[in-house]
Amino acid sequence: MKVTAHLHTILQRHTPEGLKGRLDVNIQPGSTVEDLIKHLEIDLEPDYLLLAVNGRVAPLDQVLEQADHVNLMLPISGG
Amino acid sequence: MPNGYHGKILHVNLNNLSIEVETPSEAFYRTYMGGSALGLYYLLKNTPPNADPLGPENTLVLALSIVTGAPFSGQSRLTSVAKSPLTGAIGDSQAGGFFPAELKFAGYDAIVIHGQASEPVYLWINNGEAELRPANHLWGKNTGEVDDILKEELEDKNIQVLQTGVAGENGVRFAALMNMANRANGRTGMGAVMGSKNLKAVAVRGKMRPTIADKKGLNKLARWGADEFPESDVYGLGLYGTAEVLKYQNKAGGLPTNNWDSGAFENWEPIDGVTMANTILKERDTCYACTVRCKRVVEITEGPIKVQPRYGGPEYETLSTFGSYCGVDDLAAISYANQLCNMFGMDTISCGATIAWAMDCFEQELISTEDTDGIELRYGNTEAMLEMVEKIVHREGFGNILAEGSAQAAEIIGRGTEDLVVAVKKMELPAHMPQVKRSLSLIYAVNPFGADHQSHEHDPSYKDYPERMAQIGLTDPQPNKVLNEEKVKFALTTQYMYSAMDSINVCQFVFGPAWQLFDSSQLVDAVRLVTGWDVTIDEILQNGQRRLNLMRAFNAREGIGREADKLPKKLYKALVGGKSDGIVLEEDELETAKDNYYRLAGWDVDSGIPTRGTLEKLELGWVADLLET
Ligand code: SF4
Repeated sequence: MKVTAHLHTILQRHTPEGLKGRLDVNIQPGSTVEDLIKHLEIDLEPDYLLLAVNGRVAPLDQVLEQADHVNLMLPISGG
Repeated sequence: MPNGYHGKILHVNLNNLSIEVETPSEAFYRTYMGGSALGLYYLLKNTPPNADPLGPENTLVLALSIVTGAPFSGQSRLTSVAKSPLTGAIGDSQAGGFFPAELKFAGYDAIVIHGQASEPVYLWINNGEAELRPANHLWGKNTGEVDDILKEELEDKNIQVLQTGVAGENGVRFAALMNMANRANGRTGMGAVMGSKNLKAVAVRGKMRPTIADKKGLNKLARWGADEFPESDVYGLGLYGTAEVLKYQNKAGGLPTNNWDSGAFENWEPIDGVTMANTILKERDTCYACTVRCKRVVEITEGPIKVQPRYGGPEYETLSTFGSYCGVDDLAAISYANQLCNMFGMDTISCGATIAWAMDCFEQELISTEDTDGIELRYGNTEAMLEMVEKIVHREGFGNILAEGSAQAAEIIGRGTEDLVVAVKKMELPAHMPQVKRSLSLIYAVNPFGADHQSHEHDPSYKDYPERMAQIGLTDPQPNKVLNEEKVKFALTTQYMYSAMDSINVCQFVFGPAWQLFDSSQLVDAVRLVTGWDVTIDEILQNGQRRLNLMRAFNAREGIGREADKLPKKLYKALVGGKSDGIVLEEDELETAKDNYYRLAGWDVDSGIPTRGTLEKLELGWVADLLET
């Protein structure tokens, strides 16, 4: 199953074409947001991240579906 | 015809109820650009030194900018400037909403309010026509009611209202100006100044949109922002509001708890932004033309505490000051405290923090139920907290003392309560801790209107956003917990940037040097596209420097200089618990940083006052003259 991950701030990947925030990812059907985070080998406790699926607030154990858009974010540092 | 602005400043003299229109030159607008810098110009010209902040000599300036009302995100902001009744220093505060853009459409770039009316009045501005009207019928009413009455009376539900609440009428020193009954020019007591002038409200409506120099180019920039938003670092801010940072602050040991004894609040989860989004959040709200929609609207219809959506919802600061500062983990109670502050017009930061200080005094047995009208003012006592909010509004019993703000209340009470005050220049600290973001210790200390978290960029941004930082000449990232020379440069340079944003009046979540939607170069683009001026980033930074020097000069005239640039004693005590356990700030570190900061700013190192040379470079020779008379 294919989902799109949107990685923000320091989660973005360094690639030869520059910083990349948007990644298309193949994962097992039935995977959760937490599984996706593990799959992407993000070097932070999942608990540190702010999450959204298809533009809506989402928990770590939300089961993903084909073509979902998942935002993985860190909070801003002011405000 | 100018682009982006009208070239018209409205002067309202409340002593004789007269109104005049001034039409300054383009050079004036280019020098000051609007907002804070423009407000300071009129304040310094019109208010003599040592004026009573709540007397007729104080001047209240409500200023838009050269870009307010243009169709792009983050431009609908209003700056209010006057001498502060909370601090006795410069008062300065920003708010968003729909009022700022509508004031522009009503035909003016700023309103300068002089004098004091003998009876309550309100100002009605409709398509360039301005008149003062009696406001006895509005006096004593809460902000939602006043909003409704004015819309009915003026027969237009689309008018926008800026007003002082009951707290401002009663001279609560941290009273706010409210627009939409849920957006606050919160800090430094501008609501008390407006209340002291017997000016209850300003209602505006109009269709006078200034021309835009390059409409196509501006649309392109605005479209880029809307397209980029889901990939940007303010996407989470839109979904979760400013409250998104609460959990993160707590994990880092940076969530002020029990009046700053600790940086970790055990019961953070019930008051977190994610919890709010999953429970009481009714909808997201916005400011005129903004794509981010970070504003919260909460509603509670069940249970002992009911909360109405028209008063918005708590920001991160409010969740902290009425939450962790007071040891309170009840989201409904915090939302209700937020509603009370918006209904009566008070700054949620100073109000919550002042109550937290009183709780600390109570816990330490420096005050007792004899002082507090019989109330057990302990950490975590939710009812006591809410009762105190209402007492402050009406200046009832102990509330009459707390309405002075924590620093002045401590002066009244004495008994060692002064040592528990967490304020700089008498203004309570917001909910970001210098112990874990060290440049905040410097900016909290030196900022002319008191401790503020929106006056420079916070430390983590220096290493997290190197490309954007390089746009303003910052190329040597430093760790969060150091305050070396490079960090001082980072603090001052980003303070210039934030100062410029408070004069160009753009939202610091939408524009800025780091995580914001648009970067510094796009702010330059926005000003160019709206006005047609060939501005550069250096000119923008210089505008920020000018505003900072104007504020500092205002303070100098009031006898406020380096000696007031100090942190409260409590910050030199080790924090207890969480990730920041044991962290303590060093006074020497701050003093050395101050020396470097004043030198870099071109100010006299001993007094912290701008030199004539520095002022003249900023076209502020007239200010140097004022300081010498
Ligand atoms: S980001 Fe939030 S506060 Fe700023 S303009 Fe947009 S809606 Fe208003």
